Amino acid sequence: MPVTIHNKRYMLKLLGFKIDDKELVRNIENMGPNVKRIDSKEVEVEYPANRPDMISTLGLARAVRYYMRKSRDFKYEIKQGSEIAISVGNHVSGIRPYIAALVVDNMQLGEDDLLDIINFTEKLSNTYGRQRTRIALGLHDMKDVKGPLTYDAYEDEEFVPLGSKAKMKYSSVINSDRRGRKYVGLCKSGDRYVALKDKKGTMSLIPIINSERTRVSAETKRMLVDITGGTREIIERVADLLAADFMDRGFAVGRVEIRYRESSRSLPKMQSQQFSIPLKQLDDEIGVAIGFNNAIVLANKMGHEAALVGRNIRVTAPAYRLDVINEQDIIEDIAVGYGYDYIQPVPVASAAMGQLEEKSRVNNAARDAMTGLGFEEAMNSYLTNEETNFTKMRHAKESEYINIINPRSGLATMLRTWVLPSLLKQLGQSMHDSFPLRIFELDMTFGIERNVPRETYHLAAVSCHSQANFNEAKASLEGLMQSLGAECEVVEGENRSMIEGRCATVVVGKRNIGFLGEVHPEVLTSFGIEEPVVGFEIDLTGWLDAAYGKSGANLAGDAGRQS
Amino acid sequence: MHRHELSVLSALKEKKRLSLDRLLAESGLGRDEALWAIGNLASQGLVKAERSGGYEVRISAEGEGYVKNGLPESLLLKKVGEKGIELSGLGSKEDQIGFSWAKRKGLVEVSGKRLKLTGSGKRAAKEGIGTESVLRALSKNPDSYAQYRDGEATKELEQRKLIEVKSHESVSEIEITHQGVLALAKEKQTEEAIESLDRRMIKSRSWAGKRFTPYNVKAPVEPAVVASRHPLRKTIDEIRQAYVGLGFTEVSGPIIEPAFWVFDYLFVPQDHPARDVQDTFFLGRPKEIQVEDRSLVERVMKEHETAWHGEWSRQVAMQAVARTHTTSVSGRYINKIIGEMNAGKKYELPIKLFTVGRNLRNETIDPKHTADFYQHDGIVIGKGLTLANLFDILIKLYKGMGIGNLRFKPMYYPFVEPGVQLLGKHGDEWVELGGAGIIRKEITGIERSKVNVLAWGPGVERILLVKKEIESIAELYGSSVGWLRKMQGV
Repeated sequence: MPVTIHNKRYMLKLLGFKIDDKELVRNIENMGPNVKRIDSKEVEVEYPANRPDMISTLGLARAVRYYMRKSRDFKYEIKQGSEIAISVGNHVSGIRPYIAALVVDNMQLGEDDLLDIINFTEKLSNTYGRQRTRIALGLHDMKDVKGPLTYDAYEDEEFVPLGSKAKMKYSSVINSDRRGRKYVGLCKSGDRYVALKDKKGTMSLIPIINSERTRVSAETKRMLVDITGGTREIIERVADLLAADFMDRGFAVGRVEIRYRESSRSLPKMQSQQFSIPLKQLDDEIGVAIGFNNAIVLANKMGHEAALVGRNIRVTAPAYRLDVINEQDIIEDIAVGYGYDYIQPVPVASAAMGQLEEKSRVNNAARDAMTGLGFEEAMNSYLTNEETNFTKMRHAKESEYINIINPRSGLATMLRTWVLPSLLKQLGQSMHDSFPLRIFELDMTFGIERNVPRETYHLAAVSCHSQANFNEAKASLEGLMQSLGAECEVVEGENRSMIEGRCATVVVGKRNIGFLGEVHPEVLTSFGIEEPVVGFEIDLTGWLDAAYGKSGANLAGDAGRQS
Repeated sequence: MHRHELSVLSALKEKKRLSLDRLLAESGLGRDEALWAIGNLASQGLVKAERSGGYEVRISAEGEGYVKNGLPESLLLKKVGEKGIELSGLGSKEDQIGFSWAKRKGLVEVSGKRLKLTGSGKRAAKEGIGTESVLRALSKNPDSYAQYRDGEATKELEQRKLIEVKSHESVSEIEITHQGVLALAKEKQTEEAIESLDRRMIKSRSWAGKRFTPYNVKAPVEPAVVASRHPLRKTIDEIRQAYVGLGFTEVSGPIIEPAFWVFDYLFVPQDHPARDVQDTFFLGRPKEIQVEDRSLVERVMKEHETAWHGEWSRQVAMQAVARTHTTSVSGRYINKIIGEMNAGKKYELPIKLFTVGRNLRNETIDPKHTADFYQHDGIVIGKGLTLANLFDILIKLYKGMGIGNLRFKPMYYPFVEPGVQLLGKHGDEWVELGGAGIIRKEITGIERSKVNVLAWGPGVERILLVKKEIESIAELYGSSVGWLRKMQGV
């Protein structure tokens, strides 16, 4: 979950009442966020990813005020008519087609407010805005802005970027700025750059940097906020969120007309959503009897305006609640308002018999047999690399394996096709432990057949000590198979990882299910093993197929896979 | 006869005479054991032990003084002389010491107020005191100690701290005596000790009347390895037990999936950070896995486009990934069962299913970190199921897993509404165990008043962490054999 560090003094000022740390943490956490840390100066809060309205200190304080029933004012008024207009040009249509904006007036920014607003808009762009791909925001002091404003993609031209003294070309801003290089794909279409301009020139190279000319400071009295992105609904709702945030700071918000070629929109719209929910549905989904009056109080606690209409509760969700999709979200809010701590558990009536899957039973029987034979159970990553899976095992790289296209490290570039390399790797790390070393693993391996992934359970076991020999491995394997009630046959076989003439194929029915033998000394050396190793690996899914004629794919975990 | 004594005699049986080192080698006894046995045997006359090595003799300061001036009692004898002296004449400290030793040795006697020499006193005055001559001899030649070693005089000198003797002497050669040979023969005859019992002896009862050679029960050994299940596997099995005990049926599903089942079906928007290359492993082979149910894909697309406003890409949904949670299995079963119910199949509700399985997340991998982790996912499909029901099941389930202290907190997950975070008490802290909630109707495709689904998917390793105090989750995978052995009891 994303995190905001709040200035505690500022938070308490916005709350407007006295509250001790414990009580503050309890109330914040009961609403959903987690408080990671609280001290005399700061409160570090993880906010839910779907609640960008809780990013700003103001937004979090607003939620706490409602939750603690200190606030019951749900109105957001915006004067009619647009104060300015932005014309949208044709060149942004393929790259970043939509813009929303609002004017903030009568501002009196303290240092804390300014920091909170900058942090809010920055975090909003990076988290909810998906690193500025979905939305990007710009704040501009309007005292030096002259209409008309245009939003379009322009050829390379000059402006003074924020924090700079000299004029720079768009292209050189992008090349010299860390963020520019990161976001270059978001702002450039052919030879054109996405920008917001007024009569005096560039206000913002979007979504990279604003102009020095429109820099916002504590002295700013009137501000333009632009929000750009690829989905109109989303940026317009973000405009609502910002408008509510600024109005709650005591500023006035004015509308901006966005002129697209075929239509125009006056924003922010302050769209509040209304839901009518039968009271019974609340009780039925939460599992407690809530009652009419209580339902209204609980909705209010979550910042919703609520009223009774017949046997329904009518809830108006505020415009800043971007997460609300339908009545399910309101029901959750009422449950949160009620408090999860106060919901009494209620048993579900059911007389069902539980049972394990057949393959869990078989796997457990095999694991019991192996520990009975003196092998300790190991567990290894499903991930490996070609070197371990093939090269160190003296095998040529196959093409029928599942590989990963975005590995973070060279250690995990593919899914293992067998278990033996994992066990040898462990033995190599255990040369200082007392011998004999005997370990086994029964778990998943991965392959592809005709481009269809295949997941099969393999059982591999190794024994490493100075006297290790073929017959020991054979005795263990036959003991295992007997205990599982299977008859297997051991015939001459080959495996490049094993010593020639000391390797056998394991056959159940007419099917080869694996091999057994003495590990080749070159393989031992490649894993740093200093004593002989014998072992075996069998495909348990294959064995189950052979033994019971059941579908191996089904037992390997393909139960849910649709063919 | 003690077995050590028997060992010594046996070792001497053939050669009759052995050096101590040879004897130790032949008998297999330790040095202390052998010397103890030799001492016992020698005192019974069964062996003769020859000693060799020397002594270091040092004359003390007091002794040196007496070497020069004579012992106090010898001086006293001179003072007393033939005639004797008045007792009152013994004033000095030296006179007192001389008097007390001369008296003890019977060289002087008191008669009235006079002190007189006794007969042996007179002899000593003439011939000198033995102790004094030994002291002088030792002072001249310390090596002469050997000849005085057993005499009374040396004992007295040592007692009086006039000399100090350090012995370097030890047994060097041991010889069996005739008596020793006889004793050994007798011992062998009556007590033939049994080293190891065998089948023949047991059947024939030939062990009867014989002795078993005793073993050193304190000798250190390497403890045997108790092969056991992996601690993580044990935890997984405990979880399975808890589910089955609550009437849940186990299911499972693929690890390699199209993104559709891991994300899209579960209402996770296509631009959600969880779908980022930073978090999910995307596969190159196979690159895509098709979902054949066209009407399902259509419905999911519509739900996404309505809720998230963006365009939904079929291609993105069909990308092959390694699943990042077992909730994909729950999703497959929710879809299957509700689909069958819609098609008219009758199910006895509620249906309770669970899966425990491994997932992979694109973490930075090094010897300390792995991408692998387990999750247990449960669903209850029924009618009129509530948040209060969900809490009840989770409390019982975790009790079954050994975690009695559970807390619920609101939390956001794209697939549930309401969303619940489970916390378990670990010491004084609440540790996040995972998520739960009621599945959104956008996923089930059916109004909740008809059918709703309780679901949860917490981590497994966290349970191990809370219950068993394992420090690092990364250790669980691919650790050394030594670590596995250390974890036996866990």
